Order: sequence, then C-alpha cells, then structure tokens
Amino acid sequence: MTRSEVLGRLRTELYGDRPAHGGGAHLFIVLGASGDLAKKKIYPTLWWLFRDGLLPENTYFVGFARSKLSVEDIKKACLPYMKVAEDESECLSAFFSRNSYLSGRYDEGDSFSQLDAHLSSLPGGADANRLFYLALPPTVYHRVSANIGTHCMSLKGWTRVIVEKPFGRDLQSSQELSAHLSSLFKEEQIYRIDHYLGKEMVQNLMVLRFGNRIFGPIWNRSSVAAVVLTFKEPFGTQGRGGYFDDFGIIRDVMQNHLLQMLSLVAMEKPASTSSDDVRDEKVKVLKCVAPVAMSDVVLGQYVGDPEGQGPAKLGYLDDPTVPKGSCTPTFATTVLYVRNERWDGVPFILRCGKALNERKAEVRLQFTDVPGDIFGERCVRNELVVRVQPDEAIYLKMTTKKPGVYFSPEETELDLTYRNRYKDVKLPDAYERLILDVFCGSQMHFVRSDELREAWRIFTPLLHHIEGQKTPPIPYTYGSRGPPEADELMQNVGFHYKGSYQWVKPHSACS
Amino acid sequence: MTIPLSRSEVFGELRKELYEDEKFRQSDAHIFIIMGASGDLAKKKIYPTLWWLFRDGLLPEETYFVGFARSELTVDAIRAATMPYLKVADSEAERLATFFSRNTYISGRYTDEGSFAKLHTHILSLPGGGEANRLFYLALPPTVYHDVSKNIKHHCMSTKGWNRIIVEKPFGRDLASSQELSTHLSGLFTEDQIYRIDHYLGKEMVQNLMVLRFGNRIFGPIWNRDSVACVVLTFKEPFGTQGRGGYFDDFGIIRDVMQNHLLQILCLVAMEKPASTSSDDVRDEKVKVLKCIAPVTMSDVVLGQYEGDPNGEGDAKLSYLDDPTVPKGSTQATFATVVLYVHNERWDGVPFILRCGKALNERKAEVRLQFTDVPGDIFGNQCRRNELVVRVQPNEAVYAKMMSKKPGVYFSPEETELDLTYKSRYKDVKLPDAYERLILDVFCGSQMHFVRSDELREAWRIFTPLLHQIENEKPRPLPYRYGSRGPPEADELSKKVGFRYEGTYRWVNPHRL
Repeated sequence: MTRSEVLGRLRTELYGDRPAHGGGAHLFIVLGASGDLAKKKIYPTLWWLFRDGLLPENTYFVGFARSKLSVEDIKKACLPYMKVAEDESECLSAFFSRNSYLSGRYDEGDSFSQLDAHLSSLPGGADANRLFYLALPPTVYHRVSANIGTHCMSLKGWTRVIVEKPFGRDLQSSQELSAHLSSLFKEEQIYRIDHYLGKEMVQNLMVLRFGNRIFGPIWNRSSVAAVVLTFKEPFGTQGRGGYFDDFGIIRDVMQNHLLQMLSLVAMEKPASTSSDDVRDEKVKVLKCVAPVAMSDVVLGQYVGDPEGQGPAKLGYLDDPTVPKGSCTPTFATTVLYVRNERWDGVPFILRCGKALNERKAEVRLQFTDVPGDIFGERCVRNELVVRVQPDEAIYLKMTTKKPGVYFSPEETELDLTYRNRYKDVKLPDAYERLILDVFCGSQMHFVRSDELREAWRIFTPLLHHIEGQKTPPIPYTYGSRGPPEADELMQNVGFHYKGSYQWVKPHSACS
Repeated sequence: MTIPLSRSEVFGELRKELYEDEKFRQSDAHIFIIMGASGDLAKKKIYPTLWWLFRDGLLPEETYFVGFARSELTVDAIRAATMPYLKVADSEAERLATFFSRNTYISGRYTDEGSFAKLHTHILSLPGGGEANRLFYLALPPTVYHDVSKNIKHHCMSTKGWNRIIVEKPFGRDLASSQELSTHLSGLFTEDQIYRIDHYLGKEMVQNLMVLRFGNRIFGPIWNRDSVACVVLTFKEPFGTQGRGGYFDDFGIIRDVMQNHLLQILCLVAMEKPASTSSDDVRDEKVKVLKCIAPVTMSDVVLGQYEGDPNGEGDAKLSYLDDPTVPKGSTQATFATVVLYVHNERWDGVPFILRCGKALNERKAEVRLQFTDVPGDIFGNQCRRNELVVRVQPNEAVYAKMMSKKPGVYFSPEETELDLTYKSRYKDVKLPDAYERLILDVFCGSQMHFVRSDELREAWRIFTPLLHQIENEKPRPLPYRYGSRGPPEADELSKKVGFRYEGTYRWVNPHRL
C-alpha cells in the first residue's frame, strides 16, 4: 500500500508534464541484447521500472543482437540479476510478454529495415516514441547509428538514442564520433550516459550547493583550500585486464566520472534547472580548465602483495590478458586548476585507482585555516565531505570544544548518514534514474557534445604524452593507499592531511 | 584512593592541563569556606560539587572545607543534610570519609564581626592555614551580602595566599541597586578576586559557542547581518512555580532568566573574536557588544502569565495565581519574549529574540541562528531557510538544518540536518555539572566564565527601564495555558521582526530511526 502511494506520487511528479506520456506507445530497443551490459544492467533496470509502474503504460521492449535468441533465452540470462520477489512472478510474466527479440547484423541495412517493420507491428508501434540503447562495443557505433538514422526513426513520435562510454579515446576520435552522431541526430535526441550522474549523492551536489544559504559565501577561493575528488576500488582487473589495458585508469574513471563531479562542484549557479541551462554552466567551467600538465600527475600500477589473500597476490602484469611490460596506469592522481574568478589558484585534486585499500567515491572540500586563531593552532581545517559510495552520507568535519571539563578544541562532525536518516527510503540504482530521465526527456544528467569535447581537450595531451613516452608508472602494493608520491603531490599543492581524524559512525556509538 | 584506572588517567591528563598554570600549585593549601552552609544551595549544589571534585582528584591535594552559618550544626548534620544529593557509589565510602574528615563547621552571625574573627582563627588552625589560599562562597540571601563581604574583608583574608569571593545572583534588582552592590564589593575586593556565578556559563554547549564560532573557518563569512536573518535564544521550563511563587513574584521571569542567562548567551553569539582566550580579553568583547544594545522598549516585548489547564494532570491544573504564596492579583510575568538589536557593523538590523517562560510545553534551552533566504533561487521556492541550532539542554546537540535532494528518484529539495548529538557521538564522556566546572575555574583562577562588573552593569542598563516601566504601569500579562507554547502574540512578534517559522520541519534523532 505505502509503496504504491509513493510510486503514484512519483508518477504524478514525473508525468505531470505532458510530452512524456500522451497515451502513446513507447518502444525500448536494446541493441546488443545478448551482451553483458544488457543482461546485468539494462534488462534488470527495465524490469524494476516496469514492476514499479514507473514506465508509461504501453511500453514494449525489443532486443536486437547477432545471435539467434529467443525471449526465453534472454530471460534466463538476466534472471540472476533481476532480484525478483516471490509475489512478483505474475508481474514478471507481464514484463516478458512485452518483450520480443530480433536477430540481425549491425552493419546491414536490411536487418534494420526488418527491425523497423517489427517495431511498427507492435501495438501503437507506428506512432510510438522510440528509445534505442546502444549496449555495444564502440567498433560498431558508426554503422549502428547510421542504420538507425536511416531505417528506424519514429515518424510520429520522438526518437532518442542512448550511448555508453567509451566515447572515443582522445579528442580527435571523440570529435569524429560526435560529428557522426550529430549528422544523424539532433543534440536533444542524444543521451550519453555517465552513470555517475545517476547517483544519489552526485545529483545532490546541485541541491546542496544552490539550495543552502550557508554555503554561498564560502564556496570559493577565499575559503576553500583544495577540492579532492576520489574514486577507489579495492580490487584489481580480475582477469579482464586486456580490455582495461587499452584504456587505462584516466579514460576509465577520471576523464568522465571525476571530471563530471568537478563540474558540479565548481560550476556557477545556472539560470534555471532546465537541462541546457545546467549543462551550459558545466561547459563554461570546463572551458576554464587548462590541459593537465605532466608535473601535476602521479601514475601508479599495482603489484601483488606477497602477504595478501587470493587475487591480492597478483600484480596487474600477472593478469594473463595484460600485454607483457604494459605501462598502463591503474592509479592516477592529477591536479587541475579552474582559472576563473571563483576558483583561481585552488587545486582540484582528482585521484582514482584499482587495487587500493578501500572502496570509496567521494567529494571533499577542504577549507582554509581559521584566520587569527586564538586556540594555539590546535584547530584543524574544516571539511565538507559528500560520500557518493558506499554508504551515502554528507558530513561536515569541524571543531568543537572537547566535551567535559576541558576548554580546548577537538575535531568532530555534523553528520548525515543516509542509511540512518533515510532508513526506509529506497535509493534507486543509477541506471533506473537515468533510463527514467530518457523517457521523460530530461537531459540534465547526460553528457552534452560540447561537454564531452572539453573533457577530452583537458586530458588528451596528457594521454598522448603518456602513451608516446611510455611513462613508467610507480608501483604500489595491492590493498595500499597507492604510491606515496601521490600524497606528496597533494601536500605540495596545498591539501593538509593530518591523519588525526577518522569519521565515526555516530550511530554505532549507541548500541 | 579507590579511583578506577582509566578515569584516573583522564584526570591525570586533566590535572596537567589545569595545573600547568603557575598560580595553582598543587602543594599549596586551599581552604574553601561556605557561607550559608545550612542552606538549600549549599546542601543541594555546593557540598555535592565539592565532593565530586574531591572524589575525582581534581582539587589540590591540601584542600579543606569550612562551613559557616547561624545554626548550631556539626559536620555530621551537614553530612546528613547533603547526603541525598551526593550520589555516592558503594566503592567510594572510604573516599567520602576522607572528604568529610577535611570538613569543619563554625557557627556565627553574619552581622557579627566577632564571628568572623572566630572564623579566621579557625582557618589559621587548619594545616597550612596561615599561608593557604582562600575561597569564600556566599551561598546567602542578598540581604546579608553587604555585611558578610565587609566582615570577610576585615577579618578573614589570607595574607600570604590569594582570596576569591564567589557570589550568586541576584545581583541587585535593577541598575541602581546592582551598581550599589558592585561599588560595595569593589570597595573591598579587586575585580580579580570577585567571581560572579551565572551557572549557564558552566554549561557544555554554552562554553562550546566560542569554539564553534572561532574555531571553524566555515562560519566566519556567514556570522553576520548579510547571512543571518535572526537569532533566537530560548529557555523553556515545563513546570510552574511549584509553591515557591512568593519568592519568584519579587523577581519575575526577566530577572530570573533573561537579564542573565539569555543575555550571556547572546554575548557569546554576537561578540567579536577576542585577542586571546584570556579572561579579560574575552570579557572585554562581551562588554563591548553589550554596549551596542539599546535598552529594550515595550513595543518589542510580550509578557505572559500561565493559567491552569482544566484538562491537565496535577500541577498543570494550577495557575500562577493559584500558588498560595503569590500575592493576589499579581501581574508578574512568568513568560516573556523580547527583541534586542545590536547596533554595530556586524549585526545592525538583525533581531535577537529572547524568549523564556515557565509552565510551557517542553524543557529546552537553545540557540538558533536562522539564515536568510537563498538568493536567486532555482528550485521554485521549495527551499527553506538554513538554521544552526545549539541545544544547551536537554540532550546536548549541534545541528545544521539545511536542504538536500529528496532521496530517491526525485530531483527536488527537502529539509534535513547535519547532526551532532552528544549522547551518541560522545557516549562515554562524562559531561560535568556546570557547578563542577565553575568551582574548578575558581581554583584555577580562570574568570572567563564569570560575570565581570562592567558586564553586569551593561546587562542591567539594557533591562532596567523596561523593568521599571512594568512595575509602574503593571501591564496585564497575556494569559497562556500551562503546557502550551505561550501566548500566540509572542510568535507574532517573532514573525513580525523577521523570524520565519515554517513548521514543516521536525528534528529527527537519526539514531532513533
């Protein structure tokens, strides 16, 4: 009862606006339906949205790939990832009854004419709105997008194309892909996914920044000493190093996810919350970031921990799929500067890596020292931390009087841990939000072409340099914090790490 | 000494921190004289506090306690009277015996010089008495202050050690009477010998205000009229005068709570950063900010008096005027809301709303800064004002009420808080009683948390014209029901001067979820 009330309200909030839902049909086409992304992420996400009644009434799903498959085959492949509850089996049948599958070749126009014929044959299909999800390797993007453009566009309804990274591998290849796509589709039809933009805390950055008076006067170079954007994984490439080796950690995480978070932290307040007003500001702030200099970079590559358990014993180069002697970094720390009035001189430190000591993604603003200190230099810097994952939280690290008979300062925090404060709230998966956004025609959380171009402009010279020079990365032990040179770089540019403070789960203090 | 190990480690650290100060050498003898040892304050607060400090090893080793009052009493009688308030654990019996072995009692008359000479002789007879430092706690009705202080000065001062006098409110009842008392005291003692207690200055969260304000970079740029819409200082009690209305009726709620406790908190919120944390540098800033406050005008005031709740339980059925000790037809206020303005560069135009009352809906003392609206809002007027709240009691906490994205599939803002609840975060920390801290401060010679003479003068200057006007005109206070929020006119006043109460938000103890 309560869940459906919530969802009912949500549908009103989402579909209050007419264009998304005119009673017309919606067709969701999964290209690459037999692949990993489809079975692990896309089909499960569509199922959850369908189950929760968040999709428009007349929505049908069509899978397309080269293999000869049936809907039964798809169902079997996805089921392990779908988390179906016992009382949901009827709903699940309904979901799969809306599914169909076509096989065909990505480079063949005919296959796509057939696809189009099939789409038109579905109820309301001729006039339906169409969403194409390209869950495909980048090698076939060109052909597939061209074929969609030629054969499968909706005539009466809208057509939207969802693409996943990698969007090229440097500025030139990315621009080329963008040019190709924009020759086929308008910007408002292109939905580039950076799934970090679907995460709760990343979406929250805008509200935190622009919905709170108290942050206004301190969100600038006068009060902020450094911004640190972190992504850490505690595991290595796990036998898939061959694929990773082609890209490296900078393309994998930094040029997209971390840079997106940087935009949200650094941007000016947009004129409104409309997608283009927001993205205009993101592009504007990226334009003020110069390409990364090699002197502001530390690269690392993990080696096995002789004392480790299982995979921890293996270094990156021990992965049999990784080319011998590869110099691809699995860790990187870079410092960027936003040369505008608000941020000039403030280091934005981006650090990411595999096989580190913990799983964590967070945004951390470190504020400057208290001027005219009267507490004998015992105050440490304030920090505002937004933990994206795991365990969503926001906390303000600050100074309070040491409780008790003392009158001296010590560190503490004002805390908001979602798991406690919002105990019964379901936090949807990033893909759920994003796919819902595509249905609603909201592009705020998708990457625009010019945004993408700026992101590549900032990192391409560095990438070319590293690849040209085959810069040897610094080794670090599996499960460690990464190479100490990275911490040194951070200290050099002005981030103070005392190590005296450890965030305490306040609720764990009461049993 | 049966002090558990970890606690004694804590106290060892604490002794080091406290006694680093030259003036407080452990080896000197200290004599603590309680004037009014037979009274309520002595048995309920002072003796217990001394016992706790002694028990925890926080007092200098050579400390002796002397009670003085008119009654013919013995130490055993004192012990019996105070025992219910001492909270002695079984394991502490031996320590307690030692404590009382350090206690003596002298009877005498407050106006009789001979009694004080006798007291002095007695003090000299105690170990190290000749050179001891002496603390005199005047736990007495104000009627005898003059005589007692004079007699102490003439007969009981230590010649080798220091002397400190601890006095309790009321310090007069208006500017003239307070100045007269201050003049009298300063004719006898120097300012560094006078320790005026406002026990709110001993509370954890009140002491924390300075650290919060001046130890955090993030508050610097927003602690002023550009970002703060108003400041609300609240003191609420959920019970009435409980048969002691006669005493209260002479003073009223403004003298009882507002002119001292709330105004002290206002100083700590509004003051500039002091040059250092030395007592006088801090108090200089408090006096300075008080000087910028004009006397309160009647138009910025709402007065109330509680009436019984016919549906209430027990005491709640009784009005203030039902208290047999309250004079018939008294117009004394049991509730007041007052708006003050600090006319300086930092605060000009910002209302400081002080509200206090008895027989209200809850027990609460807090400081609340409400910030201005977000300029250039892009969220369709869904944002509510930020607030920073310091809850002094009950349940010490600090929280920032702010906007966050409504969690889940939405993209709209809703209210939430960044929270620090002491009971959870500092679960095992003992928060000492206000009196423990303050008495310890007197031993250490730290006056930061005591009221200086000029501070007191300013506090009376601000409220005296109002108090006189009320006494002359006897305006009828607005009735409010026992257990309610007080008269609605008070909320209207707050709203009129700029406090926005949305009522959409309720602090949730995140740990209770």
